[in-house]
Amino acid sequence: MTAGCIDIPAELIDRARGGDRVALTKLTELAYPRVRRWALVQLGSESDADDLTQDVLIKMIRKVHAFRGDADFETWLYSLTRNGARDVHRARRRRGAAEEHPRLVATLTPDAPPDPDRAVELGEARRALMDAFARLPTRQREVYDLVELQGLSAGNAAELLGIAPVSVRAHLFKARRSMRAIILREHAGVLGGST
Amino acid sequence: MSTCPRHALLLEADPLELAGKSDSELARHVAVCAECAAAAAAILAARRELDRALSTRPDFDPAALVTSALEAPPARKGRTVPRWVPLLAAAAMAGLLLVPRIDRGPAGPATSGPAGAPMLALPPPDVGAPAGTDFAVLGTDDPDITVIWLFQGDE
Repeated sequence: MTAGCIDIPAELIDRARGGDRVALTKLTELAYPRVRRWALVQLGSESDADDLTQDVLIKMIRKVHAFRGDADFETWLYSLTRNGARDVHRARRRRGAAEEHPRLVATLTPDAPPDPDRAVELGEARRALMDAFARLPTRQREVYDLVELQGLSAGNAAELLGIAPVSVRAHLFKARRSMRAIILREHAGVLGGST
Repeated sequence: MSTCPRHALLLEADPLELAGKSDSELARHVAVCAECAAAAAAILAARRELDRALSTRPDFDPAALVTSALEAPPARKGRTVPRWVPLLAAAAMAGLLLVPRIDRGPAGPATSGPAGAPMLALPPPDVGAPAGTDFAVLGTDDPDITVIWLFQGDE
């Protein structure tokens, strides 16, 4: 593993490739949280993310025997997720489905805050940040999530996304700038009214 | 109201800067400005909340998924022919329809209408297709006949 998100031993992958069910189950368990997060970031909807996660993991289980050890497992898994997300986006466009932004905002900011004691303290800043995050283009959202929230290096994120590290830094720069603009424009009170 | 001119910069700052743990000018400022320190703390807390919201997931049974993946037959794909086949077929049909016209050359006989009468230039048909279906409009030798071919669109 080089991309640095999932700690999956190479030996586990080898056993799974050989059809060992226990290893396949463990591999699925380890991959699940990561795939679901990627799916949610790319699709913005809980139900679509759940469906895509299941599809990706089923593909992983059925195709892991053909996975080439020279590629990074996580990068392979990420490409399965991204391709699946692309199909969902296409299907949405054909259906004329609503934009993903409102769905992601609803997903990230449920009516009942996770911790009521901190709701007042965090409420406005949290809502502003989540709204701005949800409005980012998909690629910027992916980079912001991987680097800013999960703490991957630009190099590791680049490897996972299949782009150059300099592109990761550019997307991160744009994401931060866009989020700042959205927050200042639409949530001006979040920083005590500063501009 | 904020009075600090650096306040808005916090929204673009690196997490280490917000935590006052880097060597940048902004990080040093956050360490000494109470107003910015409070805003930086709120932004960091909001980022943690966002991280948590993205990490939340329903219950999941990996063993059941492995069982169903290995025991259920793979779902049949809707597309059974490669996506280039309809295009190739359309091109082939268009080619077949055009060949006689080319062979005839400019002096060839008219194929319809009275001899010497000019051919009427008809407007192209207005064609729509249901979602997920593509179409090709193919002219023929006979101006009264236009082939409209509907085929499964790109999945």
